[in-house]
Amino acid sequence: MQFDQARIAIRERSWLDNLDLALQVIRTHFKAVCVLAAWGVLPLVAMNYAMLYVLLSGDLSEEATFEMVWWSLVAVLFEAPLATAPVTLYLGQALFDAHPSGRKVARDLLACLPQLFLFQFLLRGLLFVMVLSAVIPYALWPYLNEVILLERNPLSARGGQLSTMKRSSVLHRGKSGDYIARGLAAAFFGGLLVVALYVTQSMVLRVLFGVSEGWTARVLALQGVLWIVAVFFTVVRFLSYLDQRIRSEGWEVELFLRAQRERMMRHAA
Amino acid sequence: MPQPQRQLDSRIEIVTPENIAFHYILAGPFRRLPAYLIDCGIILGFLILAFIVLTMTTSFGGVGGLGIGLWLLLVFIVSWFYFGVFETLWNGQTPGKRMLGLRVLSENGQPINAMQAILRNVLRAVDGLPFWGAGGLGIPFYMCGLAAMAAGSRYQRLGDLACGTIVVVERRSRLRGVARIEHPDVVRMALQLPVSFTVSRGLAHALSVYVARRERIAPARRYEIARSLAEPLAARFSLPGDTNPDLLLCALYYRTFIADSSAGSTPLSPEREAQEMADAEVTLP
Repeated sequence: MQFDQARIAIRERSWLDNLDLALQVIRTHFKAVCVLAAWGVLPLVAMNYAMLYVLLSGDLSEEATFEMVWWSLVAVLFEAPLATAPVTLYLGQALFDAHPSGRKVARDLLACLPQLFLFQFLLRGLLFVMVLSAVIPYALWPYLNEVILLERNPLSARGGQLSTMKRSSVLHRGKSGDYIARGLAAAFFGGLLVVALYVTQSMVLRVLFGVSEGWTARVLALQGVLWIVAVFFTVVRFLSYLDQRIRSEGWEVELFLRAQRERMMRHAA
Repeated sequence: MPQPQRQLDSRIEIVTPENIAFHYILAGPFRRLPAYLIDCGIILGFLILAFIVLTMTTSFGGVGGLGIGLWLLLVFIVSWFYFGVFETLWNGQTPGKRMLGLRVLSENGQPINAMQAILRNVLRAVDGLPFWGAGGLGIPFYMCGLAAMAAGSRYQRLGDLACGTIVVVERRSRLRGVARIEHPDVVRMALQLPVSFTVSRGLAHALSVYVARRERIAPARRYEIARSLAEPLAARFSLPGDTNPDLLLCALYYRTFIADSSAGSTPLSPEREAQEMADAEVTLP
């Protein structure tokens, strides 16, 4: 493997460039991203549907619709790190490997489950008790999922290896202002995408197929649209994580030097 | 020989008919959206101002209906031709694109002509589908355009595909000279390096990349990065194992780019050149 031959060109990019590049990444790995996203997302769609059914049970009033949108949004925000973990693991492999393996994704996911459960379910669950503190993971540790899934640090520091939380704080240190600005921009672009996709599917169903929305169709359409946008932003977050490492840790320089070392060793041999 | 797989990137190379290669960064939908919103803001501001001026002036003359009619005519002209006219007159730019450093070019890197500019913007009506609200005054959601851009590798919406155009980011490139490293420790270490050692082109490139970026990397991390290349070099130069890797790479850089260049450079031998080319062609297994 040549380290300077990553499948995605390793260079500094702006956040808007990462949004655009995410479209190319999804197009290139379309089938795998769809399958892995469905794997993580479909059980949660069913669970969210059941939750909304218990809460609102088919009510189509304006107030109930607002509640439906609110709870759907909260549920997707809370569940997204867990549901999109397979996609992140796959992208991590696909960065260097021409043929990423689904079996390896499943094995890595199993290995990371304890930390995912601890940080992305229990800790996030505690923070979600208050709306304001729910923003903390997005504003202060946007790449926590990538640290857990792709760097595999131990829960507590050992053998010179940083613990997950320490590594996360080193990676995120001193950039909370940037992350908050990016979070707001992501909310803006994500909001636009959700509205545009929802209106489009609604119009297509009504105009082309004459289907008018019932309660079930509305819940499922909203869930579908929210998850599509969540998966898209998972890819954006992965690319932003690479960018973060390039900027703060000279990752592209490291890959370049390691590739040069390999060439030198081969030449010497 | 297997060809290396193309890396995913928004950077493209365009070779002009004069056989000159230019590198551009393509602007995708998200890079273009802020420019579009700025243009929409300008259009909206202009139309509001025009409405006030036209209705006020015509109502003084007792022909208020004429003012509304003129304004509706203006709405039609501006909404259909604002982008096309600006892109024709400003060489592929609108005010929004100019503010954000974007430009529309032909696929072959040539400037666009008036036909391309007008047609690609008339086709916005298709790219903008679906619309929320009535006709030309509806809000476009650009789902058709987004789908077309996501499906291609050059972020072309339907209007771009029809006219053979792309949108690129104009970059003001800065020429960087050789980084000056004249720390006494670096100079001292450079004097210890064997004179017979010739730095290959690949190694020289690696050294220049490292030295250009090292100032922005924390010292501990710098040490870690430099070690991967410094270890085999130290072994080759018979330097002690605890040699500072950052210092060693800087010293080699100093000798290659500063000390040697001031002493006059010597061209590579043909054998050496052939080896360099072979090194450069190494691909993934």
